[in-house]
Amino acid sequence: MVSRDVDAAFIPTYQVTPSILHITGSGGTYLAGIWPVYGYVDFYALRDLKNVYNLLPFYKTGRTTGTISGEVEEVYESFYFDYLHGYVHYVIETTVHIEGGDSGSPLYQISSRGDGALLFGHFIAYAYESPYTYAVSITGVENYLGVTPVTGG
Amino acid sequence: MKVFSLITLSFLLLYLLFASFNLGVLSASSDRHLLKINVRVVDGVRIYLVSLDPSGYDYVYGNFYVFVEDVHTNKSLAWIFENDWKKFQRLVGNSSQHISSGIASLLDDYGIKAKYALPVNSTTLLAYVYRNSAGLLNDTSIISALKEGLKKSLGMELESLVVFIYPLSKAQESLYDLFVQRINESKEELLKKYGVVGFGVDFRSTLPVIRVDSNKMVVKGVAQEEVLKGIKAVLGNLSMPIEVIFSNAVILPAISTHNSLEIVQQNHPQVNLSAILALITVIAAALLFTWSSKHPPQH
Repeated sequence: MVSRDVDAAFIPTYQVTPSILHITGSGGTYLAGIWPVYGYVDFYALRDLKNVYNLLPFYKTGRTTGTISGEVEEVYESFYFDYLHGYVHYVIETTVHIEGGDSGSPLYQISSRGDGALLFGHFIAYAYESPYTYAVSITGVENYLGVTPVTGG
Repeated sequence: MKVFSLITLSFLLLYLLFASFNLGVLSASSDRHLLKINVRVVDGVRIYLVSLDPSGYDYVYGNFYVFVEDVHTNKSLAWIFENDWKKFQRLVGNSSQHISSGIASLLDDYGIKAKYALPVNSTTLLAYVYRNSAGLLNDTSIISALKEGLKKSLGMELESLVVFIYPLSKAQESLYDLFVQRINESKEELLKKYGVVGFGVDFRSTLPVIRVDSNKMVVKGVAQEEVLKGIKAVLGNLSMPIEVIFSNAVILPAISTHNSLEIVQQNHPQVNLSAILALITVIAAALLFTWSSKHPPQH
């Protein structure tokens, strides 16, 4: 595997509190907070409860562009990516803005009580000159890597 | 000279118009909406109905609701009046985490088939209702009975009913797995022949969705109607509304080791319309100038 094929890495570990650095604010004033990840939502739950989850905004926190909110547009059972020359299963299309270097960043919601983050997937791609961005659902992460993300829930 | 000036001016105006579009100064207005909210009062209960608006799509072809995306139009801008959706979110508050299918069964007693329902507060009920039950919400006697029933079982004084109407019936919803199976079995063929790249569910309209890459269609020389007929052939007798999106978006990996622009240029040669039009304008102006110099106006 050449280095350009490496996207995000999951490191087997324990005795950690999984968390997401959530940054809010605008105009240069940022309020940072560490949000414990209290659970994750797999592809099927997201697909079947779409009307439930689209009532709250989605966020991502990435290395290049920080924390930005947006919406989920579609969920795809299977999606062909030209640059991979192949299909990726369990893809979530969003309007959460990402740029090069944000790959691997988490797609999440803040709980309605504001006390934690709910994880949906990780970003892999974006559409050029278009608002769409693409994440692989946690279901895809489980299937491809054979790991289940650690959560505090 | 007058004719020369007018023609040159027309070319220049045309060029400016194209350049404005290309620079994003002008863009197609977002006056199309895939969902709409209607408000009505039945037996003193304010009913907010959120439903699919087919007029928001480019066209409807059989069971297909077709949306065509390009550089100036994308579906994310066209799904609903922003203010209406905010109103809907205000109405349902933060209830999303506690939604349940249990309360939906209460509505069954009145013939209303709902997927989920829950009280937002002591006066407002949120319900996700299947398409074939939507008409019952106009019936005064049913709303009256529902008011009584909710008062007895949940102690609610129903004032507002917020209803999302699924564009599918319960029977159609159960066909989704078959939809996935049929497309999945033919996905290689659909990609190769028509440029079909994805299939799943639209998150807001809740319709099953098929995504087609318009750039691939150009390479293959196929028209939208051919693509739709090809998809229909694969789906066979599956009778359910399906959203089809034709999109020319070029997707790139979000990793920093790539020069994204290089990939775009490799995958999708960009033709600069502004530059071409500017060149045409200059050539046309030069030709007209030469012609008018050789043919001076006769007075």
